[in-house]
Amino acid sequence: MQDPIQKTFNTAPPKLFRKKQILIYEGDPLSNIYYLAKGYVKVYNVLSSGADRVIFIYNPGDVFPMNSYLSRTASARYFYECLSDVEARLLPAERLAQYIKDNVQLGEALIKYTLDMNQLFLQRIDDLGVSGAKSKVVSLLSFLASRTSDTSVKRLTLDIPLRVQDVADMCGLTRETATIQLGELRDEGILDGHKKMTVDLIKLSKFSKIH
Amino acid sequence: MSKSQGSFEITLNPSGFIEEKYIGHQDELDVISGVSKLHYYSKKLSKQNKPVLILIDLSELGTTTAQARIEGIKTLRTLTYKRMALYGPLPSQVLANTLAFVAGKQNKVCAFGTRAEAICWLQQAGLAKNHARPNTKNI
Repeated sequence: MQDPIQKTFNTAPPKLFRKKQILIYEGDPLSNIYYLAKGYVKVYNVLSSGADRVIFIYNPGDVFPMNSYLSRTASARYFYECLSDVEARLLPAERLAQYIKDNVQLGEALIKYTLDMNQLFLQRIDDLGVSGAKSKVVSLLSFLASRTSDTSVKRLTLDIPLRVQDVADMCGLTRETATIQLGELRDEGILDGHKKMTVDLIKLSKFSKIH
Repeated sequence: MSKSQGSFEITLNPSGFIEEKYIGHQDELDVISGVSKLHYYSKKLSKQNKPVLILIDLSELGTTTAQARIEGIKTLRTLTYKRMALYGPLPSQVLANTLAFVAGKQNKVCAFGTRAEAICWLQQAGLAKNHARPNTKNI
């Protein structure tokens, strides 16, 4: 049976967006809700220092900014930028409200989805508070592994194309520190590859438990 | 005057709005029980030709059953009220706002993070003048 959320958004035509295109700016009114069919979208804010702080990455199948929509926030809290080429289906907020009306099944699915995403956001915020550069990178890798692939395998390749700068932004580190930490993790056999990173989940889990 | 029936409390605030607080896990019977009191106060205010404004505290709400949520939707549709403001943590806001969308009452029902925001929105109806709650310092 098709997921009621996906079924609802399938009524909207797909739209293509280029890598680095900003879909939603912080402070924008919430006029559209996006269903991500293909690609990845990063969610970030800009710190007073001017640096980006990446808070979250949306995967195919995700809907945003659902938390803001269902908490009735008038405007977007973050920037939403394409991390790769993206295919998304957009529904105007008013039209989505029409779909939800009298549809208990869709309402239940949206509550569950939004609360699950809220938990993941909280997990990421906890990760950002971890002390130590290596622990931050390991927390990020654990988070990305849990979000992007089958974690039942011993080694997995992250689906998300990441640059060192992306890792630095997601960990609140400088690019140089992120490079050093990623290098050390490669030396320890936890990580392999550059643009397409492969993570040894057993070693990653051991490191997380120790630190 | 306040009455407590286990997992909810209901009060008719001196400012003229109905206040209800849900505490802990809520099943269908809890909601039905809470709603029957809401109906009682709603009718009472309507008879006095006063607008029915409702303030619901979800700050200590626990889990809810699917049937309880369905009862919540029915209430939003059938209860007579001008506005209903709810407040509580984000999961409770998401829950309340989604039920309002399902009931098609999102223009009359809205959930907020704080009591002050919720009362401010009720006041926008231009009808609840004094929102002070007995023993409440932070408003």
